[in-house]
Amino acid sequence: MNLLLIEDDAETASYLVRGFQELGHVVDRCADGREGLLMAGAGQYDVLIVDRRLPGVDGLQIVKTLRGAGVATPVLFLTTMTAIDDRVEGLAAGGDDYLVKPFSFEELAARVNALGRRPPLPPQETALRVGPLEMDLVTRTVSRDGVKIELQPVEFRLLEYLLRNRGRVVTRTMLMERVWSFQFEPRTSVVETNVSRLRAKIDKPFDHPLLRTVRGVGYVIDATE
Amino acid sequence: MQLNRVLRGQPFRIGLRYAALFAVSMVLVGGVTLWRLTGNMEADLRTSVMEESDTLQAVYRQEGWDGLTDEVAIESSLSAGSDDVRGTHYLLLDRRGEKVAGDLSALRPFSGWGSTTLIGNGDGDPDPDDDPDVVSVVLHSTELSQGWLITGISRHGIDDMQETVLSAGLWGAGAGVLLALLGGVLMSRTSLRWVDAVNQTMDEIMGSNLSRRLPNVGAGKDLDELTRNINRMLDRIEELMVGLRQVTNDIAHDMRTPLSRLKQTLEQAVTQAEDGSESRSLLVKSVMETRSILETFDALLRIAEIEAGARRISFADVDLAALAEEIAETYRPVAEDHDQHFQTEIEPGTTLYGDRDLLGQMLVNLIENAIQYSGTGSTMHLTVSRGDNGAAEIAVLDNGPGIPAAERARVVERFYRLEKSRTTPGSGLGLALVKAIAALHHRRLVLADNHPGLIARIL
Repeated sequence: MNLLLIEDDAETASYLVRGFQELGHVVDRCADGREGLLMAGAGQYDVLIVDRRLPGVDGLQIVKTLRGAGVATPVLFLTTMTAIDDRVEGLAAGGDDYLVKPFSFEELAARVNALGRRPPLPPQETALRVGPLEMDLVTRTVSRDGVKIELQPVEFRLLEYLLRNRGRVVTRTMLMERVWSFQFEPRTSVVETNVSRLRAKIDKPFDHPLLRTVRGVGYVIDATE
Repeated sequence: MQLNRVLRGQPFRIGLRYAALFAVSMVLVGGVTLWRLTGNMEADLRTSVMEESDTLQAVYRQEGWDGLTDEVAIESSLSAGSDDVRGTHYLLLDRRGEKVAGDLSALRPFSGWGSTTLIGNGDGDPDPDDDPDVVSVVLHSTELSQGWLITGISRHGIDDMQETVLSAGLWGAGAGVLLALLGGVLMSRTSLRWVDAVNQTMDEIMGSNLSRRLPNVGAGKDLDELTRNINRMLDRIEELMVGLRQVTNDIAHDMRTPLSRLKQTLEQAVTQAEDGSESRSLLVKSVMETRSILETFDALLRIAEIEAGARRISFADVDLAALAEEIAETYRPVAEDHDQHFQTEIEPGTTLYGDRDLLGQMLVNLIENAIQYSGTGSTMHLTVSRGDNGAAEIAVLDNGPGIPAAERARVVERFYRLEKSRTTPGSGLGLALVKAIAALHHRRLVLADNHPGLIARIL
C-alpha cells in the first residue's frame, strides 16, 4: 500500500516508517501540516495517517480541507488527546479511524490494513462466509458444515465483525471499540473471555480452527489450514 | 410564567406586606375619623334636641299645660300622614304616663337622655315597595309639674354619615390593597424574569457552554448591576477553565509523548532480550509499570473531562435496559471464569437521558469492581429499574467482603484504596470515575452494606 504519514515528532515518525517498510508498504512522510495537505491532495495514497497536532495547518483542518475538495482517501488520526469529544470531532471532520498515543505498532498496522483494504462501498451482503462457516445476516443464524450454532447476541456481533474483516488481523482494542463501543481499557480480560467462548462454539466441536490468536496483536478469522 | 411562582416571589410577598400595612392603617384612620365625627354629630344632635325642648318649655311657662299640648300637637301634625321617620319627634305624657300629644307612641316616663327606634322610611325613598328602615332616635325627657315633655331627633344623619365614611373607606382600602397586590405581581414578574434568565443561563453554563452570559433584562438598576457583576465573574471563570484545560492538554501532550516513546523503546528491548533472562523479566516489568502510569494518567484526564461537563452536549435518551443487558451478557462469562454467579433483574424499557458511552463505562466499572473484589464463589446482582419518581436506578450488589462503613465515603475519592486491595492491579480511580459520571447525569453514587457484601447504587 502507499501510505502518507503526516507527523511532526521525528522519533515516532521514523519508528513508524521503518515498521511499515518492513511490512512492505511504501511510506511518504512529512512533518508540516501545509506540506502534508499538498502531498495528500496531489499523491495517490491508500491511507493517510495524520497527527492531530501539527505545525502549520493542524490535522483536523487538513482532513476537512481534503474532504471539502472531494478527496476520499481513508484517514487515520493519531493523537495524544484522550478526550472523547476530540475523537468525535475527528470522526465528524471526515476521519475514518482514531488512535490515541501511545499505541503499539501492531495496533496501528492492523487498523491501517483494515482501512486500506476497505471496499469502496460495501455491497448489501446477506451472508458472510469463511470456509465452512456461514452467517446469515437476514435470519441471524450461524452454521458450520450445515450444523446450526446457537450464539448469544453479543457473540453474534463479535463473529460478524470478525467475518467482515476475514483474513485481516483485528486487535483487542478494535474489538472493544467496534463490538462493545468501549472507549476505555477494561480491567478484566473481557475480550479474551468472550472470544474464547465464541471459539468454543464455532471451532471446538470441529476438525480445524478458523479463529486464530495472533500473539501480542489480536485475532484473525480465515479458512487457511 | 406560572402564577403561583409569581405569587411566591419575594417582591409579591413584599407587596402583600405593604397591602396589609395599608389596610391596617386605613382601618385605624377610618376608625378614628368615624369616632370623632360621630362624637361631634352626636353632640350637635343633643344640642338640637335640647333647643327643641327649651323652646317648648318656654311655651309651657308662658301658656301653661294646654298651650304646650296644642303646640306639641301642631308640631307633630307637620309630619302626620307621612311615613318619613326622619326629623324631629315629640311626645307629651301626663302624670299617669298616658300620652297626651305627640307623634311617638307612649313610652314609660323617664328623665334625661334616652333613645328609641322607629320603623318607617328612613332614607327618603318614596317608593312604597322600599323596605322599611329602622332609625334610632335620640330622646330627651324633661319632667314638668303636670307630666313629661319628650323631644327627639332621629340619628339618620349620623347613620348616613357612618355609612358613607365606611363605604368610602372600604372602597378606598379595597382599591389600595388591589393596587398594592397588582404592583407586587408586576414587580414579582420583572424580578422573576430576571431570576429565570439567570437560572437558565447558569444551567447552560454548568451544562457545557461556558461562554454564555446573562442577558440584560432591564430589571432595574440594582439587578442590572448584579447582572454585570455575575457576567464579570463568569468571564473570570471561563478564563480559568480555558487556562486549566490548556494546561491539562499541554501536560497530556508533553508527558504522554515521551512516556509512549519510553514504552515503545522498552517493548523493542523486550523483543531483543534473551528469552528467560533476568533483564527480560525486568524489562517486561518496566513495560507494565509504564503502561499503568499511562492508564492512571488517562483515567485522571477522563475524570477531569467528565467533571468539566462538556459531555452533556452529546446527551440523548439512552436505552439503559438494553445497554445493561448487553454488558451483563458480555460479563457473565468473565464472572463464570472467576467462579462467580452473575444475576440480573433489568426492567425493560428503562431509559436515561445521558451519554451512552459513559453510562456503559459506569456499568462496566461497577461490575468489574464486584468481580475483582467479591472473591470466588460470590454472587453478583445487577438491577436496573425505575424508581418511585420514574427515574432510572442502577444497583450492583455482591456478597463478598464488602467495604467497612468507615471507609465507604473515602473509597470514592481519587487514589484511595483499601489496604487489602493495594496489591491487586487498579488505579484507585474506578469509583471516582463512577462518581464523576453519576454526577454528570445529576445522579449520585451510594454505597451501602449488603450484609454481607457491598451495594453500589446510582440514584
